[in-house]
Amino acid sequence: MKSKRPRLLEAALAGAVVLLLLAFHAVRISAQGEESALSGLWKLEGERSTDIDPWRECTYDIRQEESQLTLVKTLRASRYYQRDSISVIPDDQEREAPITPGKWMEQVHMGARVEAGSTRLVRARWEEGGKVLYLQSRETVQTSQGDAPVIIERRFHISEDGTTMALTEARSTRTAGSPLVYDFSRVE
Amino acid sequence: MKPIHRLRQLFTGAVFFLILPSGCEAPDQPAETHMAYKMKLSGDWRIDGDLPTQALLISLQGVANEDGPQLYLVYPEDWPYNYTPHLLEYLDKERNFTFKEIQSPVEALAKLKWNAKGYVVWDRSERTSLIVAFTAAGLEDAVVVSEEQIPLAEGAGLKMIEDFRGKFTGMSDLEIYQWAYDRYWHRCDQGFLTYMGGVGGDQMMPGIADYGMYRNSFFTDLSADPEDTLEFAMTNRILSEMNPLSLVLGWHSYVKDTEAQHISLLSSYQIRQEGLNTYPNMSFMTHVPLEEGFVFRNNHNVDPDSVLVPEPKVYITCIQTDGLGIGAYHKPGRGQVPYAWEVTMIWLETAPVMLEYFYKISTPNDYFIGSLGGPTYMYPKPTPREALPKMISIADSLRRRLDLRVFEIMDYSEGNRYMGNIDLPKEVVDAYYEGMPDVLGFINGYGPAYTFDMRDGRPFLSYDYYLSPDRPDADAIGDLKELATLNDLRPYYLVMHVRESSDIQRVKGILDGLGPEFEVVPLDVLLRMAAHTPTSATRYLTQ
Repeated sequence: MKSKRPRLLEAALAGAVVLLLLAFHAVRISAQGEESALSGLWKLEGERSTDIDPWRECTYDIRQEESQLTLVKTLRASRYYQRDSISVIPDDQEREAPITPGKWMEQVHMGARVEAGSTRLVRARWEEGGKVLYLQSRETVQTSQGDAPVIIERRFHISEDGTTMALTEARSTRTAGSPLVYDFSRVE
Repeated sequence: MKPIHRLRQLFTGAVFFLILPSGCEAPDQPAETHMAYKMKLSGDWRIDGDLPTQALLISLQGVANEDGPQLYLVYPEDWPYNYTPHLLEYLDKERNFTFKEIQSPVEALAKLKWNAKGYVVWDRSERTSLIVAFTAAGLEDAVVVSEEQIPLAEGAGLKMIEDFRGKFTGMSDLEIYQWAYDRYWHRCDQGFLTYMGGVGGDQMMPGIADYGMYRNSFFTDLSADPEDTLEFAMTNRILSEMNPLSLVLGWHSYVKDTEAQHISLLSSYQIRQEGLNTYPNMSFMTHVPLEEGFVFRNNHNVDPDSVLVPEPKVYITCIQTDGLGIGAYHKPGRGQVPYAWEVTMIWLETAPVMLEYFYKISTPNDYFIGSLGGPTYMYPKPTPREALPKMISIADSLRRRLDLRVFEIMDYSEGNRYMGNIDLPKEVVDAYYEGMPDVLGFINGYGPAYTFDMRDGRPFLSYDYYLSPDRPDADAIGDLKELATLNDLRPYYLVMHVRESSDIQRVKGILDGLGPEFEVVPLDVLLRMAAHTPTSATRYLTQ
């Protein structure tokens, strides 16, 4: 009978190489000019995340160009989708940035929307030695009574092996409901 | 009953040997005006399942009810219009109907074939052939059968009128409907069109087919998606040959286009839509008159001119949309909290006893409102601007007769609850204010919308929240509290759309979790308070 040992050895070596590559990917973070470990396409793991109804899918496509990070969030449900793109330089300086107009993407079933031509003030920085990207957005939404200010804080936390990303959110206006916690898996 | 049918029955009596051994009685017609038959349907609507039987019975219903209410079908519990057992009980106890139960299609044919002149065979391998078969059956007073049911029809003494087996094989829907159009359209009542849409694929739920047949309508599921250029063109051709204010029955096909595309296109022709494809028993109910002396009385909570001074708190009100008869009306909890219900106003024309039933079983907490956009479901933005006042005027007339003081508008022609806008420009808002001068107020939207106004003490509000059936209760509570934070003026008037698949017990649980700052009030109370102390910002759709 042919021994299975060589095949097992090959598999173990292959696994080790993959882990090494992922670890290498994970440590290339934070410093300006280097590719962030956040870079890539991330897909929400719905069962481990706060409900996003009415959406069924959520992705973050994060790209780096020199010191600038661009985060593109896409929400999908059947044939419908919404997309918001935000570009930041993680130097803790507040800058004005455009915001996608229309229904407020944080929860489209709430009576809040973003007027066309609106901007937001965004501030980003690395935390925990470059493992966490902190992103703050100060924006104004239209409601039935008029304009309302909102501060949204997001923390993108990448895992040690670079395969998962945890996102926690806090909104100045949200005082109840489930904690806004989302788990993503790397797609590419 | 038509006398000629009696004669033919004598001649066809020889075939009864196929039926009598099955244990059925000989054919008899109900002797009294209020004697009728009832029959339970299964919950299987698959082409390879019970659909052939369901289609046969529904088509038989369309034929049998031609001259009066003869056959009432009891749909399964999970049918979207879940009231059929309850309405049956009402007819029995309150309207002097006596129902004999029919157990099998054989028995149904034996007892109710009086008006049937024959049968039309549809092809189970070509789903669209059943839709065409309903057109043919309506025009020819026939029942629809699959190949396997031919002996059953022959055994009942019926003769084949059309045979669609293999006729449409390899043809596109467009080609099939073109054939049907050439053959039948000129004979159809062009004041009606039946959309046999809804579910697609290996199922069909043709609850409305009896009424479409009764109206001699053309049946279709042609697309209203402009990208489907050929079907779209044919849809336009058919609609263009119908008169304004014609009625489309049924529902669009979920696999071909969207509700927004469908209603937008109909509205552009001033054609009214009354859905869904699952509407049950309309050919029966259309014959039942209102109870003598019955007057529609809504459950008002305030006088129209009353002055209500609100407190500095959050007032929330609940509206269930999608029309009467669907959703929570027959589920536990109704009456426990104030609830507003969209009224299917067109029933006043087509089956007023349906409205009598829902009004009579209402509780003081059930408040009825007029809907939706016009005399039935229509969008005001695609409706030709010059035609809008007339549509609103007709809706206003229905509204008054039904004692409805609030009117609801929905327009998905430029968006939906996911994206785009569902708002109205000022000139459309003007048209409603002018056409309905004495309403308490208007509600706009489905998902949240941003059209708000206040004129002469009549608020025009939009939904501020859509309570999704899939949203966890804790998160819905979080959403509503967040809205109360975002809207920090008090009073804050929060109009919540409750999707029909949420029952009232669930909604009550959410409302109970909102805390003391919130107060649940009936819609008319909220509107009168908003009239006294408005806090919404006037806003219209601007291009």
